[in-house]
Amino acid sequence: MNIDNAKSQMRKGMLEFCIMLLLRHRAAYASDIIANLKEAELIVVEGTLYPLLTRLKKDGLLGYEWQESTQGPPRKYYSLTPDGEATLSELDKAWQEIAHTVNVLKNIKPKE
Amino acid sequence: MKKNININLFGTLYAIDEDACTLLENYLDNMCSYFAKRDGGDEIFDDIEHRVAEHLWSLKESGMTAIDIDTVKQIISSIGNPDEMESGVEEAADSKTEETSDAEADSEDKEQSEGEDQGEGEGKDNGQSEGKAQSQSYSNTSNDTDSNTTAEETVGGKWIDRVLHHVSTHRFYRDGKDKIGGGVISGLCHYCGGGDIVVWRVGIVLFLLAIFVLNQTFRYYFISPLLGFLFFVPIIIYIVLWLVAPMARTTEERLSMTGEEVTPESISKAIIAEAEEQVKPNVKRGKGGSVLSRIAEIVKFCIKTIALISFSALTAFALAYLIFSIAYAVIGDPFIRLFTNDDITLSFMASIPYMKFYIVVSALCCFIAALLPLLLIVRSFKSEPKPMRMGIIAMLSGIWIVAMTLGFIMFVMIGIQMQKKGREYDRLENTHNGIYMDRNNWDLTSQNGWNIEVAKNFGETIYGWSDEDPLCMEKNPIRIRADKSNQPIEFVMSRKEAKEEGDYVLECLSSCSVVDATLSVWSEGKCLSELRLDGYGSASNIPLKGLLWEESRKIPLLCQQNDSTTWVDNVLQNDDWRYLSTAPFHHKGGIIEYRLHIGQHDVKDIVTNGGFVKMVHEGLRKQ
Repeated sequence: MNIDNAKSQMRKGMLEFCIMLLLRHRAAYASDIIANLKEAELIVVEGTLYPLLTRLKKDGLLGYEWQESTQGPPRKYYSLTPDGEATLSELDKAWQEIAHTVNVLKNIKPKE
Repeated sequence: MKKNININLFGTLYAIDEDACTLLENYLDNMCSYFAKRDGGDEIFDDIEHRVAEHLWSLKESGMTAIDIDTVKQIISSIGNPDEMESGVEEAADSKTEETSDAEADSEDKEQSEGEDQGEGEGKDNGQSEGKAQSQSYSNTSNDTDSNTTAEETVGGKWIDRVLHHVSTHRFYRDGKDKIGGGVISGLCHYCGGGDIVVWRVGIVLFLLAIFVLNQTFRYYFISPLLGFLFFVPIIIYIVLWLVAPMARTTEERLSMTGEEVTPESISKAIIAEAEEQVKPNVKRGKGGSVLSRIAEIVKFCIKTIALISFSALTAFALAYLIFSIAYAVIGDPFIRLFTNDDITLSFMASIPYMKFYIVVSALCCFIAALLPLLLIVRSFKSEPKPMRMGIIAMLSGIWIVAMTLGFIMFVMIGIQMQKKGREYDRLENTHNGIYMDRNNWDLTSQNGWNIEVAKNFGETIYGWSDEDPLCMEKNPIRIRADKSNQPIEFVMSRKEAKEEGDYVLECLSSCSVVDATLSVWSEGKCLSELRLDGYGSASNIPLKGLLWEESRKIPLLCQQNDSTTWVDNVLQNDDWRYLSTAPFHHKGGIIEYRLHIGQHDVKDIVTNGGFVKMVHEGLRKQ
């Protein structure tokens, strides 16, 4: 088994969920999200974020508005749409289940 | 010392080294062409450009006055190349995921080595060798051989594997960076595994020259068409490839053109290499090349325009044909009545079995066969056509070939059916008294006053009166051929004329290969005189061939011919013609009837060689 491969698959599955989590309470612009994700060691290259954002936006889960910035070029502030919030709570439920499942499995074989 | 330029990104100016700028441009171009293929790609590209701007802004804020190439390299490695970015977006195929994970490992290495300014190249090399080792161990443990990562292993295998591997790693692009005409030959050179491009060019030109010279030398030999074929086919292939094959524009395309692995690492390496190459002053390329290539562009544009116009016309015709055929198939006869009220045409159309089917299918095939090339041409007008997958190319050519073949078969079927029906109708129309001749023959016989009474076993047609007349007096001789039925032939025709009382001879010019052919003259049921057209037993029998003008003056019928030049032209060259006349006989006045009778029992000779009877200027001459 290729560990890197498995890891990247796991990350891949979680990325969109994590992005939406980050936007749960406040709008953020791409560099904010990047900084957070990098801190959490979820992404390796910054560019990964952009196709994801575009896709989430296309699916109607995210919206954005332009804001002038005192530091550099204007920024796109992303926020969750009502649809996005609903999806997020669905995903959250799913995550709880997964976490629960993993915990249960871990407890069955505590030695490993 | 490096040149420094100012660039404007979203309203802010940044000072950047020339090489760094080129690298950045290449990177963004590559990104742009990569995402141009997908939905929302413009936006992704725009976001990335913004991100680059943010990086540059923060560098500027931190006090960096001029951005150098290493900084740009850092920015690129932190934003990533398209393939790295893709890892989060699409459910990639297994092989691709593996590539990407390798790549991620690589770029992690890279990031670690980022701190050391000088050590980056080394770090990359390490990454590469590690990646290779990884893939090697992977392929050893699993049977699933991946064509990209296990290149080294498969090369040792059978030649077919090597060919398959080569084909799977190379894609055909025209090389836009190294071209004289369309970059087809350099593309071919890359596709076939490289080598010196000059050798390829010179080799191909010499090959064509040699073929041309050989073709001229052996012009009159059987090999000539083959040589012509060898000469033109490469040229046609060249033009077609020029029109159809895309040019390698992005770094990714250039890599798959040369058959290098397309990994994020190789892409970034190639981008950097290209940037450095571009910055170097380019001495090699003189003005001649650019003029040549400009001419080539113009020629190419002309060819494409001509092709566009002609294929548009073809497609339009095919479309019209298709609409008409469908209308005919659906509406039927009333549709034809819009154009013609001729019942024969209508019943003709209706009588051919499956006519509607043939017409609709052939129209459809025509339309497809014309439309596909048209679409390709239209596509080639786009400034940056996306490369087509081999599968799609194969499928399209398959469809085209099927359409061409089917259309051809349909047209042949229609042709055969039409001919068959046409012959039937012609027979029906041109059969009188149970005798069939073609329309022209009927016209000529009636013009000359002849009435055909009997015609047996002439089969399909009696070859009628041709325009042949040795004296050019515009009378039409009768000319008859037997058919292949091997039955005795019989032919009788007659013509009436009033003649006053007197002594006459019966005369004519004839040329005859049939033994039993006689011209006789009758009055009130009695035969007055008879002339065998082969000349046997006639009173005078003078062959016209070689007959001099002066000699011809003695023959009454020929005296009418005044012009000595046409005499020489027409008569002296004629092999078979002879002047025949009977002995004088008496006619007591009234209507006389000429009868031409042809009969032959042994037709074998006629069947193989074709028998003929030609007769002209037959008539009575008063003594």
